[in-house]
Amino acid sequence: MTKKTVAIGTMRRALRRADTSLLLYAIVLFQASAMLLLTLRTDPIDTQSLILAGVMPAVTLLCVKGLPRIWKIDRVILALVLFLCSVSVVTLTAIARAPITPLTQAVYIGAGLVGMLAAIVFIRLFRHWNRWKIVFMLLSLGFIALPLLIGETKNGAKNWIELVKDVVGVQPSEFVKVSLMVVLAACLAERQSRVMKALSILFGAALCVVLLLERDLGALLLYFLATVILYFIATSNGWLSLAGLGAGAAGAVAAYFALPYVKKRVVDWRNPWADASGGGYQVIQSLIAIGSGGLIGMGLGLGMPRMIPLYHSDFVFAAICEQFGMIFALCLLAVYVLIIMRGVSIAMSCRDGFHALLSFGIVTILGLQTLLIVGGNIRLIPLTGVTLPFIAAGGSSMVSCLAGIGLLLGISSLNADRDEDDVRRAEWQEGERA
Amino acid sequence: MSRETYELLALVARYWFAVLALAVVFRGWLACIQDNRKARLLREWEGGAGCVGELVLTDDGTRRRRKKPVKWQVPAEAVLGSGAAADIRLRGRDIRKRHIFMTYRPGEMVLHSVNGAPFEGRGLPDGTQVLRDGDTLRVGKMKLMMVFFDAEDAEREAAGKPRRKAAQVLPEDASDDEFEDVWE
Repeated sequence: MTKKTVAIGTMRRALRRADTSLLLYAIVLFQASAMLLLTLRTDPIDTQSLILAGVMPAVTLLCVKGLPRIWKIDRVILALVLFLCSVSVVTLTAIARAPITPLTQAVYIGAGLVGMLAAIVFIRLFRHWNRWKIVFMLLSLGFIALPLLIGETKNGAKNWIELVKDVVGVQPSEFVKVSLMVVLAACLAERQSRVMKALSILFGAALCVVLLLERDLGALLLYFLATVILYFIATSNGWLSLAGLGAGAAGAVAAYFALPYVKKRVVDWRNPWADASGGGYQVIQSLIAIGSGGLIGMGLGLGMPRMIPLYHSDFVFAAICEQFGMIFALCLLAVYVLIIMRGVSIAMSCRDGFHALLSFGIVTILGLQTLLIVGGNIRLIPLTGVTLPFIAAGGSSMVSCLAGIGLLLGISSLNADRDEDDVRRAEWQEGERA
Repeated sequence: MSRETYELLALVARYWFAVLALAVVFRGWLACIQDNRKARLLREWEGGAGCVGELVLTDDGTRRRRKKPVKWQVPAEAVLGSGAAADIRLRGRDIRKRHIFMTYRPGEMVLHSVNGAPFEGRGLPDGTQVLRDGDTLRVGKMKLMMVFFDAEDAEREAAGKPRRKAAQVLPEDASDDEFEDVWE
């Protein structure tokens, strides 16, 4: 056997990815056992939890076993994301006042999975991204500015559009973050075009201005950091990226002095006990919940998570710490890190700049979002109104995050297809030589 | 179920959930390590992985005789130049560190000059410089010929038709006689 043949054999083996059976069984066991436990919490038994105890593992098995038969997507990312989604449903079932909350979340996850499938198909078919980036830019700007005209104010930010009064609403900034990554990747992939680089920065800046007008500070911070990081990754221009960060820091200081609500956030963060029943109440309750959970938690369905304001959305991480404990919460953070690691690996295996930057952008957004909200919950940084990806209650966040993961999975499948083509081509060349 | 029994169950289940979460992280981490190793192996593979073709040196501007052909594999996106950071590194006084930025599009390689560095490819009416299969690139004193691995597929893609699947090109269990037309 020649050296070349050995190499091709090794590469063919390298195409086979790691076995995910044990990972999948651990996730399915968690879903089934947690929901069955919650079924027994009430007398008579909770039928909704019983149904979810069957549906959630079935959907997980169907997705993780079925989808890779159609496209060669990254199974580990899919399994880990579904694990996070199931933690969301389990936690909401345990802590929500109304049983409709976890059911709605399950429906949102279903819608998100449809969005994920659409995103996989989109990225596999979407080849002429270069022609569409201006259209994407204009659509994104129009969509994100819509709440200024017809939006509703929620928790101090005018970033919601009510489709059906008090029933269905949409948060455009959640969806635009995915299109921001697509546009930035498309512009910055043209490494030689200074116009496109300038346009990408202008686009990011325009979105930040709109978010400032809407008082959506969390999304503003997220968009700003994601734009700067992606610009640095694409161009390796350290000085300009540092200048961007400096400008952002100067803007933050200016906002502290000019905008009273920003100043209040920072004051509440620095010393929440100074106004324990007012501005600092949320953070204090969050810290108490995290502390009372200890290492292994108070027990599912036990404890007092409802003492935390916004326990199902902004402070869901604190509620998880109380219910499941610090070990489980750290494992959740490790799951996010694993998803990001795999996303970076996908980006490094891409064959063109657009897909590489898009993969990197998606995991950057995911990582930043997790860092911002978990940091806010544990009083590491001032609280911002972003959601914990895949876990916090809310349809817009869930659908947009799963759509982003769909893009990542689509790119991973394209990489796998191309790797396989290369190995087959090498085998063909080897055959010709022989 | 009584409240006390449920509480007892929930207290015991805490350990179970912690163990399952640790198992998920451990298995996920193990899969990441294994797959990252394989992905790195594939990336570093020398057999033309990720490359769309080759640039074959036809004239280096000297009278030096070469026993073996000199060629460089061309990725879908590449920088040609004399610098260490260039993907395709050519030695020559008249070749800049970053001379040409090349991007692949179906059927051809589009060439962009870096800061006005001179070169000569196939000029299109719109001013774009490209290289198609068999075209010659003149950079400095060198002449290089572009050879695409899948010239036929590239033509199909350029015409808006889908690429042939790899399996169509070489079925795993096919004999040469059965697929004579493919080999030809």
